[in-house]
Amino acid sequence: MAGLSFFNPNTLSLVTQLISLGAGIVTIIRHKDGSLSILQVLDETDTNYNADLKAWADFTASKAAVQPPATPIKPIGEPGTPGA
Amino acid sequence: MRRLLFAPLLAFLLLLVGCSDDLRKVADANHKLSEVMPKIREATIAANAAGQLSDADAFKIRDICIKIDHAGKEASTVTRAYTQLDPGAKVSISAIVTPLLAAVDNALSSGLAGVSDPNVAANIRGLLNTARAALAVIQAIVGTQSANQFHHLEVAWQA
Repeated sequence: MAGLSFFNPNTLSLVTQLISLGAGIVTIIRHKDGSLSILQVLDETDTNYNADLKAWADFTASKAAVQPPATPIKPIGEPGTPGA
Repeated sequence: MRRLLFAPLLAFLLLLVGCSDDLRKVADANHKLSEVMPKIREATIAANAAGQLSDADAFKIRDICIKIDHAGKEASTVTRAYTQLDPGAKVSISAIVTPLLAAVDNALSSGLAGVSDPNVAANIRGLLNTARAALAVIQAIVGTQSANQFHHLEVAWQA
């Protein structure tokens, strides 16, 4: 029983080690939580980028829709065309 | 004696927390960048619709923005692959961010030269500067080392 006395140097050492171990476990849990938060941030980041890329694609498509054809198409048989 | 055994373990755990904090900073800066990009797009498309920005100039800005979007997504994928910011993660992210900073710098110095409306140019320049600041935060954390430099080290190590 004397070996479990709080003032026994061995018991103090054990308590110190338990506190250190507890601190280590808390650190690991904090790290795990932090990683989860990072994943949430990254998910939102990807969503933002994907939405931006889609909006740019829509803008490009809207511009392409109003662009006139690069070369006017001549009806077959007109002067200057193969069927003339 | 046992306390001496715990000391390295605690030091390692503290180091782990420090590294994950840096990874978090990279993720936060990338997130901020992803929030700026839609603002640049909105400003560009609005100016184009109002006739203050030509299609050609709008496409120039669009191309830079798409490049940043893809690179940001790539940086996000790389960040996901790591639980701490070790040298490998730094090289991978730096290889993405460094050329991107050059592209933004190029856009700021010459890419907006064709934008005739000074207000539009100033607005987009301001937003690009915000994007640049987010990229600079990432670069400050991961450093400017290129993958090529590390390749030389790898070759030297294997030799």
